[in-house]
Order: sequence, then C-alpha cells, then structure tokens
Amino acid sequence: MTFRKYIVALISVVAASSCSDDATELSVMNNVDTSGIIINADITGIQYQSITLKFVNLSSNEVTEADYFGSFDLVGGIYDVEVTAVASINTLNYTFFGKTSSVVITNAKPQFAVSVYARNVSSPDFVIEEIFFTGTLYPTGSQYNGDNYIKIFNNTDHTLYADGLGIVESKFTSTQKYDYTPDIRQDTMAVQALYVIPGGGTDYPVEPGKSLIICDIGIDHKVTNANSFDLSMADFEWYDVSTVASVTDIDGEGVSNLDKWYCYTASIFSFHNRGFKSYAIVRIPSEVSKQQYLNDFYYSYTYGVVTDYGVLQHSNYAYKMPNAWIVDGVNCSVESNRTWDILPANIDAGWTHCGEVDGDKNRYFKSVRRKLLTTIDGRRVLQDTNNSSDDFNTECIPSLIEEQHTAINAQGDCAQTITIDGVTKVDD
Amino acid sequence: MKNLLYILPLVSLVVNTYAQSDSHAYATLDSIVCSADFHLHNTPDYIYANPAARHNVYNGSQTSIAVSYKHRSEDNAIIAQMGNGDQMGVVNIESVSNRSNSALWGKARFAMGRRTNVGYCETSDFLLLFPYVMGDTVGGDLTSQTYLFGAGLMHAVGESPIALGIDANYRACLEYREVDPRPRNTISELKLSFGASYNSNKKLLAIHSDFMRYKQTNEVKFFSELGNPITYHYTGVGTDYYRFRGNNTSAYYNGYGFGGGIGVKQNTIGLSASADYHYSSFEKILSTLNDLPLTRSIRHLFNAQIGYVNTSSDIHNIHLSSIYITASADNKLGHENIFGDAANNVYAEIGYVEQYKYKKRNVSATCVVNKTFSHNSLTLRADAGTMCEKHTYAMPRGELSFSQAQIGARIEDLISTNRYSLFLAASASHNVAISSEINLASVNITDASPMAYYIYMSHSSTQLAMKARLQIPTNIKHGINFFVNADASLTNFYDSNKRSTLTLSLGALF
Repeated sequence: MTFRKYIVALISVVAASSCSDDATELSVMNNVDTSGIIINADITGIQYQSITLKFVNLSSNEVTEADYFGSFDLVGGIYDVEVTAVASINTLNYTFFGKTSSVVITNAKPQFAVSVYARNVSSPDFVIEEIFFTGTLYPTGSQYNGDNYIKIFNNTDHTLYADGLGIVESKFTSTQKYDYTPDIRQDTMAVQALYVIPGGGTDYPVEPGKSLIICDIGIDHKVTNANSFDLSMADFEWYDVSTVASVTDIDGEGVSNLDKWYCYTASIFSFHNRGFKSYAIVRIPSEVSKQQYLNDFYYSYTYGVVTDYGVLQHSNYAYKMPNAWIVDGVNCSVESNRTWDILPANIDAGWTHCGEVDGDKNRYFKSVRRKLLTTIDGRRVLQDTNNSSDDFNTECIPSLIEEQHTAINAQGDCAQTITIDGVTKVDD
Repeated sequence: MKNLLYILPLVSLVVNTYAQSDSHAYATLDSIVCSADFHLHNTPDYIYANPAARHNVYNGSQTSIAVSYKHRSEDNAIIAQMGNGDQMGVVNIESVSNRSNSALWGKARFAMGRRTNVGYCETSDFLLLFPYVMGDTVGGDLTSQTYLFGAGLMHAVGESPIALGIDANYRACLEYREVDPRPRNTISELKLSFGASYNSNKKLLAIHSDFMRYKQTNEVKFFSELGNPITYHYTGVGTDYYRFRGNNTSAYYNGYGFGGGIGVKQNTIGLSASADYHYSSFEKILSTLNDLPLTRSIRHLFNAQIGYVNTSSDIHNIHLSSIYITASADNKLGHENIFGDAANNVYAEIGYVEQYKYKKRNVSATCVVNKTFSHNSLTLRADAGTMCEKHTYAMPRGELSFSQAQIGARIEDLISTNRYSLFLAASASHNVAISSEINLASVNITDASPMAYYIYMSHSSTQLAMKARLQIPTNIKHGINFFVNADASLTNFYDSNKRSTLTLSLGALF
C-alpha cells in the first residue's frame, strides 16, 4: 500500500466516525404505552373526559406532562406520578387527583395503578394556615427553642368550633424510609405527639377567615431572646411536665394549655426544626376517650437497617391515627434528603419545606404559609387542593414576625412588610 | 545532553496515554527541556510510548535537576472547572543510565501551587473524570501538591534485535482549600506499560500494552455558621443528579484502564505508522449513602499516526523533511445508575441510563523541513487540522458542539558552540470556528460552565508562543551543564479574553 493510500484510509476512518449523532438513543423510550397504567377511582359509572399524567423523574427532577390518551417519550427511571382526571358521574363533572410515588419505569409499557380522589372544591373544615417549625436564633447565632407555632384557619363560610381538635406530628421522617412491619401506612398515620384542644364542643369558636395560634411556649420570647417575638397572646400552648430536671417547660400565663394525650419525649416537645416531619390536625371521634385511644391505638413495629455489617433489626413504637380522622395534613421535608411522603395523596399529594438541605442554616426565622386563593367580602379564602407543593408558600417570613416587626435574622434586621400569605402584601 | 532531551517528551507521552490529566506536574516535563532533536520532535513519535521502542534514544548516562515556576492566567476561565489560573512550583529530578543493549530511566517530581477561581468543581482531575464531578456554585482557589515517581527499563534480548521494555508511573496528589467549601481530595494513580520491539537496521517494529489503576477520595466540608451551599453531582451539559444533591459531600472514584498499540518506523527514510487504543472506566461512588455507585463513565480513545520521513546528509549538512498525519477519536459514554426507594437505608439499584455522550475528533497534518549546519539547526514547521467536539445529554435533551479548523507555523533554531547552546522558537497558530451549537434544555441549569466554554470554543482564537533555552557547559567536575528555559504564550479568545502562560526553569545536567 502506498503512502497516499494509507492517508486516505486514515482520513476515511476518522471521517466515518465524525461528531454526528448515532442513530438511536437507547435510554429514551418513545411512544410510551399507557394501557398498563390503571386509574382507580373506586367509583362505579365513572367516565373520564381527560386524564393528564405528570411524571416527575426523581433522579433529575425533570417533569414530563402527558395526555393519557396521547403519545409521549420518557427516559427510564424512577418517578412520582401525579394524575389529574376530569370525569363525569351522572352527567356531573368532577376533578380527580391522585399520586403514586417511586414508580420504577424500565420499559415503554409501564404497569402500575394510581388511586384518584375527588379534589376539594371548598374546605369543609379547618386547614393548617402556617407552621413555624424552624425557630429563631439568638443574636450570638445559636439556636433558640420555644417559639414554634402552628396556625389553624377556618377556611369555611361559617363558624367552626376547635374543641377536640388534635395536633399531631408524624413518627416517621420524610428523609428515611424503612420497611416497617406491620405496614399500616395505607390508611393510618403513625404519630409521636398528640395534643388536643380542650373544650366541651362549643367552647372555642373560630369565625370564618380567622385563625387559632397554637404555640410551644406562650410567653413574650423577646425577654429572653431579642430576636424572637411575643407569643403571650397565643390561643393555646402545649405544655409538658418534664421528667428531665435540666430541661423543663414554661407554662405561659394567660395561654391555655392543650390536653396532652401522648408525646414520645419525657422532656419537652417541639417541632422538628429541620422540617423532616409531617403535621396534621385531626378530629378524634367523641366516643373515643383519651384512655381508650392510648389502649387501642398503640402501634409497635420493627424494621431492618442495612449496614456494612449486615441487616440490623430495630423495633419502635408510636400511636396510630386513622387517615379518616385527619382534617388536614402537611408533609414537610428538605429537597436534598427527601425520600418519601409520609401522608397519602388524598391528604397531601405534595410536600413543603423551609431550607433546601439538611441543617440548612438559612431556614431559621422562616415558616410555610398557605397561599391566599381569594377574598370574599373581606374574608380570606386559602387555597386547599390537598397538595402542599401547590398550596403553600415556602420559606416565608412568619406572620407573627411580620405583624410584630421583629427580627428576621440573627443580626436583628426587622421585618418591614406585612403579607397575607408570605407573598401577597396586605395592600395588594 | 541529547539523551535527556529525549526522555521528557517520551515520558510525557506515556503518562498522558489515557487522558489529559489536570495535574500540571505532568506538563512541566517538557517545559524543562525543549527538545531540539528533530528525529523525535519533528517526526511521528507515538511509537515511543512503547518503552521497548526507545532504541538509540538515550546516549550516555545523565541526570537532570531542575526547578520550575509555571504560571497560567485567563481573564475569564475557558473551562470553569480548571480555574482561570495556576501558579505552580516544580522540582524535577530525572536520570538515565544507558548501555549498549539496555537503558534504565527514572524520575521524581514534586509540584506545589495554587489553581485560582475553580468553579463548579470540587473534584480533582476534572479532565479525566468529567462530567461526573462534585461541585457547587461557590468554588474558589485550590492548593495542590503532586508527587510523581516513574521508572522504566528497556533491555535487548541477548544479541538479537528484539527488546523488551517496561515503564511505571505512580502519581499521588492532594488538593484542598482552607475556606468553605473545603474539598480535600487525595489521588493515587498507577500506570504500567509493557512493550516489545524488533529493531532492524532499517526499521523499528513495536507493540505494547498498558494498564492503569486510579482512585480519588473526594470530600467537601463546611465550617460556616451562616449556611452551606448545595453540593451538586454534575451529570453533563449543565445538568446534575437532582436526587442526591444537597449534603452528600463525600465520594470516591475508582478507575481502571487498559490498552495497547502497535507501530512501525523507518530509521532513516520511509513510512512510519502507529496506532493505539485505550479503554478506561471511572465509577463514582457516594460514601455518604452506603457506598452508592452513582455514575460510571467509559472512555474509548483511539490514536493513530502515519507519516513519511526523509533524512539525507552530505559532507557538511543534514537535511530532514517529514510529513505526517495525526488523528484521534475520543468517545466517552456516561451511565447514571437509577435507584429505587431508599428502604432500610439502602438504595436498591434498578438499572442505569446512558445519558451523557462525548465525542472528540482530531485530524492534523504536519510538515517539517529541517536543515542542520555545523553550528546550528534550523527548522520550519507547518500544521493544519480540524477538530470537532460534541457533548450530548439524552433527556432532557442537551447539546454542546463545535468544530474548528486549525493552522499554525513554527520556526526553530538551535545554535551550538563550544561555550553554549541556544535554542529559540517562535510559533503562531489560529483556530477558525466552523460550526457550533448549544441547547441546554433544562431550565434549571445548576452548572453554568458549559455556556462559557461554548462561547469561547465557538469563536476563533489566535495564539502566539515563544521559547528560549540557554545551556552553558562548565568545567566543573563531571561536566555539569546549567540551563535556563523560558516558555511563554499568549492566546486571544473571543471578546478579548486572554490566556497567558509562562514557564521559567533553571536546572543542571550532569
């Protein structure tokens, strides 16, 4: 072979493998077949007019919205799948919503089921308006405890009574998921704290568009931390009789105590300040007494933790809270560590947060606040679609800090603006 | 001196066989000595990656000790992950022991310095491990320490023309930063090359294989009380592995590779050709999640060189002309492992997706004319070539690609007298952008570096370079030669963004 032939051959090899595309991308599945996706409304006689699928790729957070009856592409992976369906039942149209988590899709004909539920068009009861779980900081930058609060809002057009309303914190965290045995998660929330508003049924009325403030310690916290705020006007506080001498609670004067049914800690309870828990307000049927609840709803479970040394078996306990008793619930997590949603989709199909990473130092002085939907005759109506990803504004200045113009950071800079929901200014 | 001049580009070639490392310690090898020998420098040289092919390369036994200072500065970083500058100090010791039928060589090097304004990358060896590096949007300067040890042997089998060779290089590197984010990366890398050759009077035939083992521990810590930035695990073309971003700041990389090549070279006149192929694989593992194997990159690198050399001589002068073509095809595939639910503290792997692809093609032609007189050697060299580079991400669809044509010219003169030898070189090259395309499909780009890289690569650039080396023999015992070397370049990129490099070396040969 002559020199010239060598050169021609070499150039041909390189040119043949130039930077042009290969013929196919094997990792992308084209024309996904949805016939294996079962939409289960648990209602007979339902006729779907439209079904929209929303695939959220957990690896990339890439969102693919698709028509159930149309054609779309998807890359193989693990997905959260949300379903929004418009269906007619007896000539009336309803919107259904459902969600299933961690669906593994490896081929172009995925097979899984999604249960859908009729979406709320109006709130029949209380909703959680705001949760301030992060707390504040001392001027020195160290963490201050005791000024957590939750606001419960009457989102209806009539007076509601808060008597018997319970506040719960989940036992499980959204950042760690184990195979718990027995598994009760389909219809029950495992709780580690349950505090109940006392009253005989009509003692604590809440007018439409008004809130109750329920806090950790109902005192003026500015006395002990110049960066905190006044909670002495709160409606209720949770008070714990600590068995740990070095950690005791303060019983705020003039602020009623909640009735403590159960709490996991022998000292004092406060919200998970990194935001890994789910919170709910519940109505326990009047026929279920505190003692009966504690006797009948005890939940003991086991789970295995895989380590370098093998699977270590653990056991723990909590109390069961049937989902049917939950009035409203909110999943909280942080983006960097979230692994699952503790509450099912019919209670909360999303999640909300303060902070993006575990231990985020920027989370302090911030709360999650439910969005304003509309105002009717001066009455606020908050958004409640049972999806806290949509319903809540995240990392807001807490409403009480706004109203009291107290500190929004460790340096003591004060809040200037008052908003309705953390975003919408009062003047707007 | 001639033998030492040979060593450096050869070893440099070997250690860069798999991929360009971002260890600047490697690059300083040929900054100490600029080879004036046209048989190596100006003729096809891939074959010398084979340790058994280094026949007649080393004349005599010599040792070199040199200290160097290397500086690089860019107004704006072309590759953000490489920073916009380097200041490195290098101590380099090399030695050759040469006999009639064997050669033994070795080196030791310590390099220490700083890389400035590194962005989107807290992992070392970006050019080796891309796109799967850990990073954040803060970045900063990196302090770097590199230790490199190498040794090799070529030995002829008896009186036969057959020779066997082995070459080994070990690199240990520590890179760190003392303000947040605080990466602390430790690297160890071992490369082995084995070869055999047949050297007749007219031609050299050689075949070799090589192996590589790599590990990097990559940890980032934050001490700030005011909050931490999010740590990303980048996946290419502006994307990151969303699910594991956040606090997973501890990872390690396991890599291995192998390859081989074959070559033939005429000793005076005739055709030379060589080709080699190298495979390498790097797996990224998150230590913080029970050693979760996050990604894997697989690289296929093919190099080929073919050329014709004509050497002739008359009573007074030597004439050399050569023309050769160099081509490379570089492919990298990126696998992202997909995991199911994190049950019981373990993410079960359910498969992988081939998301990232990288292709780079290079073809260049070089023409060299050299004339050696009694006291000086004048060389003219011209280069022309094309290259294209393409990065794609499958879904969301992302693409970054460009192609360029390159032309360049260089003039060299080596003046040798009894009192000194002086080497001078000047070169100019121009890259002309031919085509380019970028499509960063994701709206949530966490790595802005592809855009800057694209802007500079999709426009033309011009480089001017100069080199000077003065070597003075002394009458000191053992015939010590002192040398000083200066190497500078200036590259003008789009929007007047300039890159300047300067290497100053001072050393002794004995």
